[in-house]
Amino acid sequence: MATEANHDAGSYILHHLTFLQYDLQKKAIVEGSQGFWVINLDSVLFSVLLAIVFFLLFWTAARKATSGVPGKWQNFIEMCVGFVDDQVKDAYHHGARFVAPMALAVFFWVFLMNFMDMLPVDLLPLLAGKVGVEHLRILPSADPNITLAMSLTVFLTAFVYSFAAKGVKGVGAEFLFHPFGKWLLPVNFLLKCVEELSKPISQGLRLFGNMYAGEIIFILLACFTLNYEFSSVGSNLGLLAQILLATGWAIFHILIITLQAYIFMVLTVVYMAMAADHH
Amino acid sequence: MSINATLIAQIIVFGILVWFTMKFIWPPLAKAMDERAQRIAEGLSAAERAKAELKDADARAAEEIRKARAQAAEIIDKAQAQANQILDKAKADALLEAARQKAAAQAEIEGMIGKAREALRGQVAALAVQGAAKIIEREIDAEAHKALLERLMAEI
Repeated sequence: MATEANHDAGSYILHHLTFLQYDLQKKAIVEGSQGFWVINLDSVLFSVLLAIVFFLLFWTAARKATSGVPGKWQNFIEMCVGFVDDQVKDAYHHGARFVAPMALAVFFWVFLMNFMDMLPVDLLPLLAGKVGVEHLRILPSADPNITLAMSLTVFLTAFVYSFAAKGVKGVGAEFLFHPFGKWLLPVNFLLKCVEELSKPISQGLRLFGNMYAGEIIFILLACFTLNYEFSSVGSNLGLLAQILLATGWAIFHILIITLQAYIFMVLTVVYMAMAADHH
Repeated sequence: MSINATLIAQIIVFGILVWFTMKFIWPPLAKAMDERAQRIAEGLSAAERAKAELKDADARAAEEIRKARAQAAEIIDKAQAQANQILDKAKADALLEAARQKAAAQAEIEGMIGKAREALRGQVAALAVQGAAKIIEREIDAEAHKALLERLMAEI
């Protein structure tokens, strides 16, 4: 439900899509800055918080992990780890030991970030407003910086790893002599560059796009009760519509946030496998 | 919707999280799971082995029982045969003894008959002599007619 009374829908939506930003050069909280040396405090804060949540959840189980009869929590965590491990074993058949832990961190971190979309769209911004924070976006994966940072990290890791797995010769050959042989070397190089660059961009933007769209829909549904009046029939119909639609969308969205986290993890593993596979 | 330094911050956070996961989360859990998997595998194979051993022991026990039964039957057979043998021998001995005793008794009886006959013969001879003496009114000289008398006795 919307809380800012007497707002029109446009400014309400815009308000919800504005980051809490900190300008590193001016050393001050800014609003709607387009410069590069700006940090989206809310995205970073929530992504770090959720990273800590992920770490603690798994660490409590890992710290006391026993090969004997596992407790309920350890059992659950082992199920999660086993699930990720199966996915990794399906797609990746090489020896690097960082791939499975990376996939685990990616899957559950992205899932937790996506899950922030399940919180009522106005809840945390309202609380933040009470302590004087004007803007707050709680969904880190709806920030392209966050998703592209992760996909770029995956890409760079895969790139470095491909050198370790195939050597400079192997990687060079892939860039220069495939798919058309040595006579079309420049074309090969261009194609390979496009192919490589499309990986992090599509991986990052896919997650961003899905989560951004989901967030927008929750915000739009919240507009039904933007200027809610208890005595108005129209307002109450709007409330009913919002409850029904937002419930439906939330249930459907559970699927999307899980699926997107899964896709992000699988792509991570697949890119690592491609980096190690010889052609 | 612009790209800014958040990107760099997130890359660092992501790197740290992956490193922490590699260092603190994955190894203990993977180790525990692998060890448990191994223990379960060992337990299963041990159970399999125990089952095979049990089957083996059952077969051995059955074999032992069968052997013991056969042995017992053999012993009983032997004992029976021995008992029969003993019985037969005792019977034969008894028969032999009986025959021996019967023969002895017969011999004694025959001896006694012979003796009685001798005595009777003597008395008959004496009676005959007395009768003859009475007949010829005189006494026969026993000494003079000894030979005659003895012949007479032998004839009777």
